[in-house]
Amino acid sequence: MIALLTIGVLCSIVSAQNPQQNLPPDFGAIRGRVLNTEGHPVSGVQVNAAHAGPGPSDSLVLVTYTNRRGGFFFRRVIPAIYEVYAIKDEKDYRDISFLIDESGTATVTVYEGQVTRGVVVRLNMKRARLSARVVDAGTGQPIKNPTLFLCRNERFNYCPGTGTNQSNGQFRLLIPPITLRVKVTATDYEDWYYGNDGSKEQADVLHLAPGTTKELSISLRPIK
Amino acid sequence: MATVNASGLATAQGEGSTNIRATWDITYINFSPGGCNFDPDNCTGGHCYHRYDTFIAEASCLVLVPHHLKVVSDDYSYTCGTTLKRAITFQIVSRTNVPIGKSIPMQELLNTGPNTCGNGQPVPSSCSSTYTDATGTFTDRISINCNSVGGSCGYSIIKTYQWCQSGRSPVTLATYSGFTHNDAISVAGYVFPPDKIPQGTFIYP
Repeated sequence: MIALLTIGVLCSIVSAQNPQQNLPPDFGAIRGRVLNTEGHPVSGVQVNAAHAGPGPSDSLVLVTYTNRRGGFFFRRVIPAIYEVYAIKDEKDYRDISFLIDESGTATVTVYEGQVTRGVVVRLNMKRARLSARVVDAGTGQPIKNPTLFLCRNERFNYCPGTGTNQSNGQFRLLIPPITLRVKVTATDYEDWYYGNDGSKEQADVLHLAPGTTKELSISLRPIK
Repeated sequence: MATVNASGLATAQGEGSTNIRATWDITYINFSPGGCNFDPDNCTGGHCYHRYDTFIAEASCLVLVPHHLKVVSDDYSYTCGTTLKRAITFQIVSRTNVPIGKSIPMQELLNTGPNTCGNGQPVPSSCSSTYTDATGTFTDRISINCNSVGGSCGYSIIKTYQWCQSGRSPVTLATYSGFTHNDAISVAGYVFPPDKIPQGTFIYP
């Protein structure tokens, strides 16, 4: 009886240390959960795993979805370092929270033949909506291909940025409810800063409450 | 072209739309009671007879074959302080620019020049993993990543996106040439900073 128990215990230990079973050769895997800011699992959200090193990244982002218990599993993953993050778009609004606030992103190392377990990704569901329309200050016509930068600090040099996501040249974005500075640029136009008059000198911070929508009408002045 | 087998399973091949119409004859055998004498529970005879009918069922069938890519978004951020990261999201569309609307297996072919940042060469994505979401959209993450050289170091690249078909040769959906540098990334002629790929741009094989 004792011998049988001992074998049983040994088998369970080997099983825990031998997670490479059923993994395809040359690959690893990632298993984890997506939790909201209250620590509850979030089901039905898209989870991405983006290569982040070592070496350059010129590769496609792995995609999967959480199950009813918020769990996710990437089965065939080339061994490397990955940034794992969750996104949940709303109708017409694109979720770029992960781009601005990386606190919910998990950095994961994947080894050949092993499952990296216990990965926790945070998704802040209490986001705000930012809508912006960018036009020429003289003609009032929409400007082609503007870039909107959302900065977490005082510097405008190295901020995440994105292009329009609506066919009519508008931005409709889901952003985290944190203090941000906003800049809009376009070729042949002066840069615009969120604030009193669009100038860098008068730039102000933008802090949207969760669930609120902010609509910006932005006029860019052509460079003389 | 669409066909329907004996079990009623419709199979459509090749891009396009078609209507599938099925008709079939049905024979009913009914029983007509007789000798009931105004009491339907106490009939003493009757006879069988045939009744014939024709049923028709119709359905439209749309077949979309992955053909090229449409740019959905073009995002930027930074890693290691000043090293640029670019994430471009594409939607797979048919020859007539209609989103295929489903997940398909993908792979990349990379033809890169020497990396002057000295941190190795990129590893292409392979057919065996899942990159497209349920709507046939995928994201390409591009960055030279952390390195000890900085400045404008990097490599040139010709990139090909392919649709992996089971038992068949991969089909090229898009090809572009560009470069991946520490401080700038070029994709299909759009060098950021400052130029992004406009939303809605098509990239072809």
